Amino acid sequence: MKLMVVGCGGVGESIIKIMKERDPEVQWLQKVVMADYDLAKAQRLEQELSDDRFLAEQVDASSREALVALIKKHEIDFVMDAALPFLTNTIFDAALEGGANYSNMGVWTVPQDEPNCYGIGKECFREFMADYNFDRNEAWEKKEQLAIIGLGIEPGTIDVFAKFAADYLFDELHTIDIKDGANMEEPGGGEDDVAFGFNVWTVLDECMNPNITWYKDKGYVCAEPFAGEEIFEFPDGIGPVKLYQIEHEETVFMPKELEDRGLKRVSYKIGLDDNLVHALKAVKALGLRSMEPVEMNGAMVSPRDLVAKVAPQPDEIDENVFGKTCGGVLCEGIKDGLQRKIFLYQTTDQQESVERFGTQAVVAQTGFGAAIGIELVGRGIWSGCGVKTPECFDSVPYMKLMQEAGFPFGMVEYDSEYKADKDRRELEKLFETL
Amino acid sequence: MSGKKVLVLGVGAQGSAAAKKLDQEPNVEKIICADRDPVAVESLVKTLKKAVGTTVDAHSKDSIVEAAQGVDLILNGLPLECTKNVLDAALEVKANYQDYAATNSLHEDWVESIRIQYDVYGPKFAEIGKLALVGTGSAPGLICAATRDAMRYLDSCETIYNIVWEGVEAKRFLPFWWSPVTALFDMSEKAYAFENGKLIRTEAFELPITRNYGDDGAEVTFVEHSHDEPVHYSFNAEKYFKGAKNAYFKYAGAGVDFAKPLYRAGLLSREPETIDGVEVTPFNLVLKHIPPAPKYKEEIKQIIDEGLVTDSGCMVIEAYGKKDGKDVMVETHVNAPGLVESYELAGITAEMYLTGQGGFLFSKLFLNDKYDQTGLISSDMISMEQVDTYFEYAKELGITLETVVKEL
Repeated sequence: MKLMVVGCGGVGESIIKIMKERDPEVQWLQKVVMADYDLAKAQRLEQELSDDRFLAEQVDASSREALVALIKKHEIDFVMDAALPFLTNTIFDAALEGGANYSNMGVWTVPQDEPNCYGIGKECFREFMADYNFDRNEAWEKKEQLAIIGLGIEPGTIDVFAKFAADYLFDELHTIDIKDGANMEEPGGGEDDVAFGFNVWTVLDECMNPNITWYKDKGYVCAEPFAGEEIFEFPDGIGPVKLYQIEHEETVFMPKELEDRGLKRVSYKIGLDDNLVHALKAVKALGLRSMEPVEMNGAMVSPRDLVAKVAPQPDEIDENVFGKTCGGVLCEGIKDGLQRKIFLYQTTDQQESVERFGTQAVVAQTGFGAAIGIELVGRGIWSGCGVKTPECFDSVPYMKLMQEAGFPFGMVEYDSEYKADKDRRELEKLFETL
Repeated sequence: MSGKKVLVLGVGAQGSAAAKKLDQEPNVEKIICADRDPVAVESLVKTLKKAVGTTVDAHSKDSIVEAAQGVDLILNGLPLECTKNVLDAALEVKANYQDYAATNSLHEDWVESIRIQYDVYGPKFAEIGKLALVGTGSAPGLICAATRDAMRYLDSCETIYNIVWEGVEAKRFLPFWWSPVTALFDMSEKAYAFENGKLIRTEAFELPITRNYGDDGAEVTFVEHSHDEPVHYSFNAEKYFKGAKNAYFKYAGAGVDFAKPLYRAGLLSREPETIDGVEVTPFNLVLKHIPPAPKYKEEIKQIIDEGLVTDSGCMVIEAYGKKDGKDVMVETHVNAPGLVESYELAGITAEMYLTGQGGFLFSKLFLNDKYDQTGLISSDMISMEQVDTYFEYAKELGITLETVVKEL
């Protein structure tokens, strides 16, 4: 595989480092072009990795022509998009034009500037989640190229979990509720500190766009930002976390691929720190999320660009933070005729992540989600053509590779008819041996 | 003074509220309303009986002097950067002077600017036999008079807290009930506290204290806020505040809750950032997006009709010290109308009411010849007799003090 990673920020760097760790013997990874607008950033990484396969390049990812030229120059066969969300469609198009396969970790959506049409349907959006990509499926199929959209942790690993649950843990999968939460703490940090925890652009988009829950009987239901507040108890010592609905791809991807498994609802909720919620609400109230330029000092400036620039960046808050972050699918349905409820999840420890990759847990998690998918394509295990989501592929090799790569998953089996029956049978089996 | 002539400089929220009150005073013969905006002047003047209007350029002392000829009192409701010109004009026309907050126009360092007011302008006003009274709104102003009142219950004072909770919150997005630029500046600036006999700088939104001053005794958290009072008290601790060694200004309210996360997210920074080749200051971008404080009657009515989340608030003075050898705390609550009551009384907001009335009461002492001082004083330097008179006048406006002395 000749890979080009576009964007060498936190997640891009994380992917690149995992790729190096995963194929030290050059079995399937021949070249990695690390392309960033800031060449010095890519060059620092090149120096750090000290491996001839990893090359730094400068690229303006808003220019399709520049991206295509780079793809052709290095004969790239796979483009991994780790750039800012608003660049994703350009990179997607460039990969198609340049003849490479492609993957991203999230899609670009455009809500109405003042959505006042919350409720059922897509009216809150000028450009609905992933429509841009799915609408071009035919072109990708025609050129026999593969685009896997949403291949990070969420979407990505989480979609693989849903597929696995549908294939192996349930006969009928009725609801998938995605839960993402953490218990990060910074000893000595101010109790009012605002931490975005992820790319500020992405946080602004996901938290302040209308969020979507999918219902079989209603379709997409769009709610206002910060709806659906609830407390969810996470495993692995994380404990209770306050969650809110945010806009996320899974609520579109999962129904598309898994509706025929009996699906009735897909929701997405994430833990947001109170300080961040207050900050985002203030940003929203002021209209600073907007990309529409406003006049400042005689020139036009996009408010969101300024927010993204001055807000505390995730790579500034790594080393002193302790805790774990967890993402998983809470699934309910029927197995062997009995009602069942499970939580299939992945937890990453902050300090382990900093030590291993020099990035914070959620960034490494996202990088891992992508790297494992890329490796499966690189090794020819996942293949095909057209615009796909992770649910479209076999979940087993992905999950096996997770364990092998030190990115383990876990499962909680909740009280249910199925669990009671399983426990009873296990006890009976035990007593037979006594 | 009798049949007084008053020049009201600036017809914004403070100036227009003052002019309306002055218009009802028998001792006032003439009010000159002056502003750079002739339309604003005209719209105010036509509502008053004793007023005439004129335009001034407050960035020119001569323009102010021309408007101030023959007046007994200049009431300065202009932005702080204009204060030097107004003080100089008052000296030139030999008029008394009153303003609402300590200026930063005399020196780049605010404390030094205040010292210059006292030490340089004080003697100049004394020389012409006139009084300049600075910092006379609600805070500073009313709160300083109430703090002076608290001193009567102590033999010696150790620590003063001036505590303000702006608990009026509208359903619509309206984070500030007064000038957003002033509000955001005061909140995001390092504050001043008087601690162990010295002025120190404190971080914005830090040093929280909690008090059960909320509705039904609910806990409210107050934080540091850049304000004039600790600075004034530091200058006047020995003479007017029974030797106090510590003084703090603490503030809470929907505005704080709104501004704090913006500050923590770096959005109230005054350091320019380059965005797409354009230099932008985050503070200015935020400011551009904040709705102005409501000013007009119809607008205020509309906000009330839309509904309020809360209509609460408090202004409290806590003074810790000794009385008859015992450790005590004097807790003085300033009772004043909330938003709905202020609107019903005067068609204005609670903030405008308290600032306007607080300031007007100091003017009323001028109109009734109750000041025997000359020179320059801040509102915390009035005599106990003047404090008594001030609060006698205040009672008529529904502003009262409620004091308890608690043994510690």
